[in-house]
Amino acid sequence: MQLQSTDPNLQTFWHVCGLDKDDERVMRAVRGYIQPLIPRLTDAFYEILATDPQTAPLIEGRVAQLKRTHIAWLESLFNGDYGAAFISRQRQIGAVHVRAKIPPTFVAASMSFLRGALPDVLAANVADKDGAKAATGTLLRLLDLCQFLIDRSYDGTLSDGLMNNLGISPALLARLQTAGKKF
Amino acid sequence: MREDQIRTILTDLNGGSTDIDASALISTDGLIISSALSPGMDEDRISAMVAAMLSLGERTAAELSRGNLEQVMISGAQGYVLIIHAGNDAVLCTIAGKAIKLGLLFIDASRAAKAAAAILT
Ligand code: HEM
Repeated sequence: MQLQSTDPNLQTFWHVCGLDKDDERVMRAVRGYIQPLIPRLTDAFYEILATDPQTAPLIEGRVAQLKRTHIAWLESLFNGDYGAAFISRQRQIGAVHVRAKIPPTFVAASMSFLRGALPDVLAANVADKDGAKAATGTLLRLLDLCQFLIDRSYDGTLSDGLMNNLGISPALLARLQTAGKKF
Repeated sequence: MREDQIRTILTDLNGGSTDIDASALISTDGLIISSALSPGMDEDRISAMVAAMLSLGERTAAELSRGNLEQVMISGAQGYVLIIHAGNDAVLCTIAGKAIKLGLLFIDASRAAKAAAAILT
């Protein structure tokens, strides 16, 4: 799969994490096994969110609708199409979470849940063991890609207001963050 | 050429009084343009901090309706740090000892800032 983006950081992410043309085929090959299991996995995910005192209030009263969007998102990981529309969808999801004031650490924790749960689901349900193994690698890369794209929406949200109040430009902020550091 | 001229302005400023320890010209983004600092002063850090102080001063002056910022002055037990604009895109930072006559410091630093600004534009 070819990256359709001119963002140099995304290009580096894509290049280093090793997403390539084969991933589309790998994911499509396991889709049929995984699709029926996605609702169950989503239920388990929302059960966890509902039992945590910090995440529960954020999803209260909208779990049914959130589950539907989450199922659609999980299915999109197995569709084998990671082009411009996929990328812009992740960015949009990031923007929605920023607007909903979901802390990025909660999104990170959710991604971690999926990284922990999905490889076992693949291993247990995909008949072709090599296919399951390959799909696990691709899936973990895709989850990281999604998190990378979602996280970009949070960039600056914590510091923007503060720096604006202090009159510090983005370029000066970057200098302040790195000045005197011995890398 | 331009670097040499600015460097001369800074060394002249430092040489103008035995109580001026060091000076530096810094971009408003916090990058050193030229410096005549003492050994042990971290150019990289100072430049970022000084630009931040100037930004803060500007914002505070505007917020409290004090007009355009003229200078930020830091006074410590061992001396002073004077930060003034050198044109729109640069800042002159002068580091002086406690014994300096402040009036003299202001005049010398302002003159140096004006000369540097003229070279930069
Ligand atoms: C793996 C991490 C997550 C993914 C992939 C994900 C995915 C999504 C998607 C696809 C949407 C719909 C976006 C749209 O309307 O365009 C959404 C909305 C939402 N998500 Fe998540 N989510 C994640 C984590 C979380 C967490 C941890 C919380 C809260 C604790 C959360 C709370 C919400 C809320 C409240 C909305 C609805 C926002 C609104 O419409 O105002 N999400 N999420």
